[in-house]
Amino acid sequence: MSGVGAHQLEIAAVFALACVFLLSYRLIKPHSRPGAILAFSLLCALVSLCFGSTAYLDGDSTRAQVIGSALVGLAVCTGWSVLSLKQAEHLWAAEVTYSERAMLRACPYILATALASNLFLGLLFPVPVLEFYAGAPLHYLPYKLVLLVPEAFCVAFSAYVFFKAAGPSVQVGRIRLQNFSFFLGSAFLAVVPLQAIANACVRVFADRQTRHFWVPVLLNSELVLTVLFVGCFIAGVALYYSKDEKDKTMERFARWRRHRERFDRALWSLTGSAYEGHAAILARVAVAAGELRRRSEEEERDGLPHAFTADDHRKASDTVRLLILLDSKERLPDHVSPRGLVFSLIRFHNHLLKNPRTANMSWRIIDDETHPSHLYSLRSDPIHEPLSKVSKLVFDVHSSPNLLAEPQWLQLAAVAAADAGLLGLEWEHRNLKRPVVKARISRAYENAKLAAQIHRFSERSGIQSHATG
Amino acid sequence: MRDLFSSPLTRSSDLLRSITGWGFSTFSAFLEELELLGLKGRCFGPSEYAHALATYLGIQIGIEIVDDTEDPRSARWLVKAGHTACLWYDQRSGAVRIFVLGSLPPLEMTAAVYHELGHLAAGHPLACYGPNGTASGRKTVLSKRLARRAPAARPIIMEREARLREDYAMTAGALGPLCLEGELLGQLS
Repeated sequence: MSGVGAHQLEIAAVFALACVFLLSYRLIKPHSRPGAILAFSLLCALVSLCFGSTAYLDGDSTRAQVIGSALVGLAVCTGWSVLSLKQAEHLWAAEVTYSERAMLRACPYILATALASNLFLGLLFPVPVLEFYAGAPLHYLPYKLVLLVPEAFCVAFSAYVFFKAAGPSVQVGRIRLQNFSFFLGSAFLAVVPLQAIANACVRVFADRQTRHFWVPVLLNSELVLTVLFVGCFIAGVALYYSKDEKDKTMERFARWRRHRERFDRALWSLTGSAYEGHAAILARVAVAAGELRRRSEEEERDGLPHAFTADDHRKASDTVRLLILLDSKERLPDHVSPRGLVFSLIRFHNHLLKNPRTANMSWRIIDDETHPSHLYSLRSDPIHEPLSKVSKLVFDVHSSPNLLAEPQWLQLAAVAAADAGLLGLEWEHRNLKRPVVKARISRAYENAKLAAQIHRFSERSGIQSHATG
Repeated sequence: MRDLFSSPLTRSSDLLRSITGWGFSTFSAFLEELELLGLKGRCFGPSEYAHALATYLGIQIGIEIVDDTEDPRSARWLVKAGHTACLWYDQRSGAVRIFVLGSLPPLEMTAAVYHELGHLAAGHPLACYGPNGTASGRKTVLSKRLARRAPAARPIIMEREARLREDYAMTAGALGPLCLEGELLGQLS
């Protein structure tokens, strides 16, 4: 076998070793994300197979060599595309911006276009791509550059994102080290296309003697860089899977906090100018809640249980505000949809509640003992109950929840939201056709509507009489 | 000649800061600061952190809730402009007052107070006010600070530092003993 074939086989062996390492890990820890580990090991096997297959092509026709080289390109580009997508979706760090994530998502398209152009050029003007020591025609350079430049860009961009994700906003030291390790690996890999460009230049412009000096140097450096890349990624993967419970809890808390911040701000922004369109519903909810509370207090005096408390008023208006947020077309930071945000927030909140070490989280904001809102407790988080109820009401589209069995504040919020068209036509229809809420709720809401109309009418007539007077 | 070398150095340091947060306080450095305050490994809230910081710096810190229900439009404007709390320093009495909007949700209120306390801990310049609440237009730096690193000079960097400290305080205060890191991992930067 020629020196070229041996080199290709060496690189194939590095990736085969990585594949063996991942498969062994999967056998040792079968419950630690087996799907992801298997996918990455198969990816390594694919790259190894493609490099290995080209080892036997160097004496074949130039077109066969072009196809063989494209096969290696396909394996590398597929691997990096999967990694870029994983980075875009799952690499959590405050420093990584929306546009950077969008760029990562674009990497597979960039690489696919580059690979297709490379193959097209190679088939149109065949070149001895796998004869590493042979001289090459001038058109060999654009043939290589069309693939290597986008490859270098995508890998370097991933390295940059990993570098950012090793920043101080990530509070778990192990995760920072893991991202730093991935950054180093990507940085080593980003040098490979650059030295391949140098190799192409040597083959096109250098004489035979110079080529025979430089080509082995470049091929060996490629092997060293590949080993370093694989080594750093294995270290990163090892750090990723060696997180203890403490690291995971901290990571989850930080993610919950980030989601919660976005959510609170989104609700706040809706209470701003965009919210004014819905001010009337909230006012009606407030009036109806007042009536229900008065009635409940009267019943309590007669010995009946308290059906509507002061806190229920807040819950009803919070629920309506939540439904306004879910119905809004607002673009939240990082272009997250309101539904996605609410869904993730509930998931993280429940996760913290299920963990006995975080479930009792609470703190005092100021020393004022009198005001209950100045104390925060995860268990009695004011928004959690409305959030859970709304998720059942909105996300569970196949079942029709029995509102009559739900607390009165939810019934009131549902009536108001259906009236404002926040729950969709189906709900509006459901509320009109059959009694799904207690009659007193509908009556209180209708009374509130009527009161608002009378108020508007008296205001208008007041203005008119003032104008005529 | 000095400028010739220092200018690219400053620019590259700023670039590194903006990309990776190099030069900013880290979570493990924050835990060391908590040790100085006697809060490391304990659950705490903004009021406990403020008390401990006040004792360490030898000043008074008061947190006051501003009732913004009367003027919701101004409150919204403040939130949109990114100000949910502000910090006043009275040089004569040596008292710091943190004002926070009362209508903020509890977590946002907590974060806003921690953010202002973060400026104080990092040793950033504080806006000076007279005892009657009139701004003097001057800024002053306290003689003592909690952070080991010297404070940044640019306002944008100071805001980012305070933002990081706000996150650290939220995690450390809420999780208490849970977030003590292994010594081996240490600091990256």
